[in-house]
Amino acid sequence: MEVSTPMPGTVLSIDVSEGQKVKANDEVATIEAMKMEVKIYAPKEGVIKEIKVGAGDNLNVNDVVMNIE
Amino acid sequence: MEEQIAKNLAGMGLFHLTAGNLIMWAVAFVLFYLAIKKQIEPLLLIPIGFGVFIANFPLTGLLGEHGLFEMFYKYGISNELIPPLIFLGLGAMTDFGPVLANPKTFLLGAAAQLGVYGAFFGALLLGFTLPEAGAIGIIGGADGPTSIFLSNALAPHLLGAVAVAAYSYMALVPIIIPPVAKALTTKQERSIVMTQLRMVSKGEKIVFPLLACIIIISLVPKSAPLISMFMLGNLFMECGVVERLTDVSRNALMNIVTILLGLGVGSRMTAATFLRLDTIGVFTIGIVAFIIACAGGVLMAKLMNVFSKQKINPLIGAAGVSAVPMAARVVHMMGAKENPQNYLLMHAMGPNVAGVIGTAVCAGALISALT
Amino acid sequence: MVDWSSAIVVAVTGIMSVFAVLCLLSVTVIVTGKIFERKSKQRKSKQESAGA
Repeated sequence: MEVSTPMPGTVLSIDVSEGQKVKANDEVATIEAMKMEVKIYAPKEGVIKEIKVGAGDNLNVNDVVMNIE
Repeated sequence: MEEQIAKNLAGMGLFHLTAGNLIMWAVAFVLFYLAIKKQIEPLLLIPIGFGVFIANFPLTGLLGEHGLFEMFYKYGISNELIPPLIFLGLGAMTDFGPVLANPKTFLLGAAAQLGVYGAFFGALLLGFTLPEAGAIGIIGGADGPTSIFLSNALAPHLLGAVAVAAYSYMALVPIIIPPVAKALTTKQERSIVMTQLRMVSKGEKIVFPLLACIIIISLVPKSAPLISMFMLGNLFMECGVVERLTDVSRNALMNIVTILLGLGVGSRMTAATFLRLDTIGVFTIGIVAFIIACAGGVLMAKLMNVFSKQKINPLIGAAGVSAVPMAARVVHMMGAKENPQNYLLMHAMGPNVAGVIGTAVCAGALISALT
Repeated sequence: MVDWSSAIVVAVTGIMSVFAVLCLLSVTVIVTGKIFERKSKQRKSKQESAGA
């Protein structure tokens, strides 16, 4: 399952690493949109498969941040 | 000789300081405190506060016919030059994408202007004249440059109070919006998750400022100074071929005129003009205006939900009070509190920028009706 | 004394113009959005047919 950004912004930090187990609603990344920090949460329980972006990357709406399986 | 010495000593400002001057210094220090310690609108409150501070020294001549501060005021504000220039910079910073993606949110920006008229009647009840009430009402639009623009046109003697009230209530948006928005919505409504906004093409974004000019200026001509500059700045940004002009409008030019605006506004706040009962009236009505504006937006959103299948989260209506982007941020945080996966920020930007347009239109309508 | 009738006129015309302007803007944006959407679809289908 893909985790995507709800709004355009810059990645501040990725708060998980590949292979890590997460529960639903765990914080997985922080992005900055309009000078405000916005947390991205895991949509479901699973294991982080692939992280596609890193801190400093600019994202558009619906860009994939990582995959969870 | 003694007489001469006495006369020269009497020319020292020290002997002419009044209690009013000292109180105004205290007002200036409060503004400095808010700006430096609390980081509330520091870019504006520092120049305004300093203007207040210096304007309350006796015998400086700064406010005389050819005084320095008088010139900032006369050629910058009284001529209505600076507020439109600030709008140029704001236009070059404003992304209309969210409101173009969800055009219904224009109506939320309109509904929030009810605060302006609510406050207008409130001010009349307190005994202000029609033009004064118009100038005070516009505080409900939560837009600094527009408030200055309008109060200068309708009631220049209230300009200092109106400007400071507008900026200080804008800073209080995080305190004013939540209780009002919460009281008018249910938990269920606040947790409504809105569908993803569609991507808006570049062409749409370039065409919008031109279409907006045609519609707004032909319907409300007196809003032209603000709207035209706002849309020009936006065209600079969206057309993508004049990056230098975009950059100078939103940075260098904006910063320069902000200094002049701040000093000009601050210099209007002398003891004689500010320490009056009127000022208390302005501040009281100002907060009422904010509350009605916020409620107007929320109730409009609820009304639209009755008729529309695609539900909108009524919280975003509260972002119709301009205060860009603070109001949108507050709304986002309220939504996230009910449901962490609810991202309202971009949705709230729609009514937020629509509110800026709405307030400018309001100002235009008030000017043509009252002058 | 406050001239209430002219105050009401000011408020009613003001609210009407604000809503008129923003409703019209909203309609215009919906229409232009549809036009742009159709155009981009046409372009896409052209590209596809050119590709085939």
